[in-house]
Amino acid sequence: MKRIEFLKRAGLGLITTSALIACTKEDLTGGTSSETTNSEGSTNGSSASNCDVTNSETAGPFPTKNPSDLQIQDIRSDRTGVQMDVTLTIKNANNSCAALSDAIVDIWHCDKDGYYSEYGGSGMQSVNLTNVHFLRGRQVTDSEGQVRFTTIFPGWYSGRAVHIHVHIYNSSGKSLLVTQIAFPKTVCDHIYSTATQYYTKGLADTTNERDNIFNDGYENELASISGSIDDGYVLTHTIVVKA
Amino acid sequence: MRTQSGYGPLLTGPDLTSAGTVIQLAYRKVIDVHSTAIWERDLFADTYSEFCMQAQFYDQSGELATFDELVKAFPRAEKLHGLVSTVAIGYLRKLGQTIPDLVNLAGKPWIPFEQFGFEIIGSHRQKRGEHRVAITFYSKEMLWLASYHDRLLVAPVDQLGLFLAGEKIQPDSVTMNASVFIHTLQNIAYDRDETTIPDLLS
Repeated sequence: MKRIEFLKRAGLGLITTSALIACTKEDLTGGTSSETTNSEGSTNGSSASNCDVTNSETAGPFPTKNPSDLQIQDIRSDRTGVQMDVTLTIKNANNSCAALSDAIVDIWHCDKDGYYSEYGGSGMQSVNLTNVHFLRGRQVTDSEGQVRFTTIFPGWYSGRAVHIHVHIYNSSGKSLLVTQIAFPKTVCDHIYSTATQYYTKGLADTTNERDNIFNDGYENELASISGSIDDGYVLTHTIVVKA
Repeated sequence: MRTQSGYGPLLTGPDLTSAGTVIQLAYRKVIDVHSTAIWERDLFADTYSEFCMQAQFYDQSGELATFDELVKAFPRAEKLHGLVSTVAIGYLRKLGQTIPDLVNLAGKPWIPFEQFGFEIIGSHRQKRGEHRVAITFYSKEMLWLASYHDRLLVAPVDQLGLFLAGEKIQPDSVTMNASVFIHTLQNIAYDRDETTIPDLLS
């Protein structure tokens, strides 16, 4: 199903998204750290009849680096920011959208200031053994098709909408999907304008609509997020692959 | 490298005003299908698997089989050095921050390191035997005291004060070979009439 068709059929998602698009900066200033902000994301993958393979996106310039013996759930390392607990559910379009177990899921995103973990470089570039990476992780899906990460709410960098990279492999390491998770503007703006003890750059300069990755439609890449700055946020998202 | 008494080392400086030398050694270790130590074989296997996984970012089909072909077609694939390096980190941490293979006269590895570099020399997505990687270990800073034959006599940087004060210190030694080189070199000028220790040591 092409995206535009999906948009037409996924009426509720479209309405939700339209509401988000309509939100402006003015709506969001003056928030409090205890204020709860929720945003429903994609419903894709909720049933066999709502089971489009999640859009493939470029891996971007910063794919994950994570050794098998460093599979970690808490990927924060030394990075500070508003805590965010991530639960991703991987479903299989080739099996009536049933949960896909034993899939390898890599995620990576930038820190509160928009920086990715350093690369370890090429060739002679040296890196410190004790602090070589952050905000990158790998988990394997359970019988419910789920992986969980503890991280921080990402920051942003100029020219890109807020996002998390995801690369999903089957249990043999064969690549199934490279995609990205989009964030609702309402929550981003609330956090960036309120949790200024961490996020000091103000609001993100690129919306999903203007983003070069998401601007061809991001409805089934949009995460559901709820929580508050004080208590942290919970991100849930379903990604559909063909396995 | 050639080692010569009279160049750099502390012991061979002029009598009154001398130059101490702080060095960082580097050791480049190649790991390939012929490596024998268990951790090297595990690192070989894991870095090869990770290379095959991560290479799919750039070419899902596998038609670009070698690392060189990937980089030529997708310059961003240079990042595979860093991406694959993370598989090695667990093994490097198990070394206890001590550079392997470089032993003292007692046959024991002892040179501390925190910095490393990782390089894919070559790899092939269908031919495991062509996978070769190199790890360069960068030592912490050390005092270069003297050289003799193929060995450098070195000591921890924090021993300089004792050394200058005429106290006994216990140096250690490093055998130089084609895989070991001096990564950084820094002279610490000091005057024996001065009582202060160079800022580097404060």
